[in-house]
Amino acid sequence: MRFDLNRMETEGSIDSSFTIKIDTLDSEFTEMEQYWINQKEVPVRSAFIFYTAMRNAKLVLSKMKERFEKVDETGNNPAVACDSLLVMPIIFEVYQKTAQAAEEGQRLSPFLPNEMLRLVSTLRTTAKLVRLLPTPDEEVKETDKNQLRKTAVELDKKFVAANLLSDI
Amino acid sequence: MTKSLSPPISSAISKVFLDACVLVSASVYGSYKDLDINLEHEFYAKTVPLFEIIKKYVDKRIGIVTVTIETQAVAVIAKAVAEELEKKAEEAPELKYKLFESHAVFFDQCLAHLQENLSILQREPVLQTESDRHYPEVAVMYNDLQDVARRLDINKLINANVTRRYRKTVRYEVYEQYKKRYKQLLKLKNEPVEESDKRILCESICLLKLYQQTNPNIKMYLASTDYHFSPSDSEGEITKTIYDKFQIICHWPDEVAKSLKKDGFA
Repeated sequence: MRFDLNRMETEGSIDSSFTIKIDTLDSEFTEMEQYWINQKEVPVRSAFIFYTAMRNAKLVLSKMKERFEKVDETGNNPAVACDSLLVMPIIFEVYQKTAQAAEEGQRLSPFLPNEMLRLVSTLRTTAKLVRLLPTPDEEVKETDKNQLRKTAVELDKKFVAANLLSDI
Repeated sequence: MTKSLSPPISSAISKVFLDACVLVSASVYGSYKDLDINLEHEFYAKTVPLFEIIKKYVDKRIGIVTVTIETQAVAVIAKAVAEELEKKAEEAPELKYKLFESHAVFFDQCLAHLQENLSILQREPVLQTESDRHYPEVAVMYNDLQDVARRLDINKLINANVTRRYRKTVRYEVYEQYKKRYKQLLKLKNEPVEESDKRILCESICLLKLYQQTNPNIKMYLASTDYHFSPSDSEGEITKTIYDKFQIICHWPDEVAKSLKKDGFA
């Protein structure tokens, strides 16, 4: 995929079939996302971090696809390829580390979830800089709104509840 | 004629060390107006004035943190969200997918806010060996305060200070007054200080000593919402002892903001 993006950047034009490759990658991430929801080998806290990593990679890919699809309207040519080149290596690293974590299973290194958190943060920051991160409202477009409301209320209570530092 | 330079503002010699709980309070919020969804940490509003000043004077490097603080802040957010998710997923396993998704939405938002907040703070390196040097003194201080808290008996105080003939009539009011007066100690009695808090205090002492080498008049604040540092309504014996022993001014973030204004950061 990096080769395709490099080519587009050099040629100065976008290949619209690239969206098919984005879809393929997205399916991989969806599978991996499902894996972390259902796995029982590692604590929920770790599984949740890897799930979040997959979700964030998918969010960036969805924005990338949207920009590739709208390239004729926006004249964003070949800027979207240049922008994608910046985030793609991070996305692949996120995937690699998540796959490694899945392989490690019960033997999961305690450092890997924290490393992943840092990587996700880098991904989001970079994607935001190059307009490849959906806005907060776009992020929740397909999320169940009732569930979102319930979660907001519960988390609100949770953060109020106690001195959360007590048993770290 | 050369234009005279304005005098350097006194606030340039003030530093604020932010406790992890302040970073968490400042980062836990999320609002989706269209959906009528609003999440906000109960102390979020108290952190706003402090972060406004830090941002305004970002070139003065007023706000400081360490790796310990950063790591703790992320851990607190992750722990809270994951615990809630785990609980809800056990109650309704069929909703697992939706629960992971909705929790991830807020988790991502909070971490993004945390990154934004960290971007205006100075991350200071602290040598573990240097920090460890202060540990015994800090540990002894908290142990002594814990002893005072254990011995604190409000009824005895009332008997000693209120004349016998009024004792029965005013006991309730006086009891409440003493309770308020010694709130910080009473809380310490029920919830002893955590090791992580002692580490934070050690690091802030290290940094103060480091700054004092170049500026002996430096003022060091420790902004915290934790009563193991900051006063809880009343004056606070812990807060006072920390100041007397280490010259570190512990207070709530909004109160630190007020002090900074007095120091010249208007």
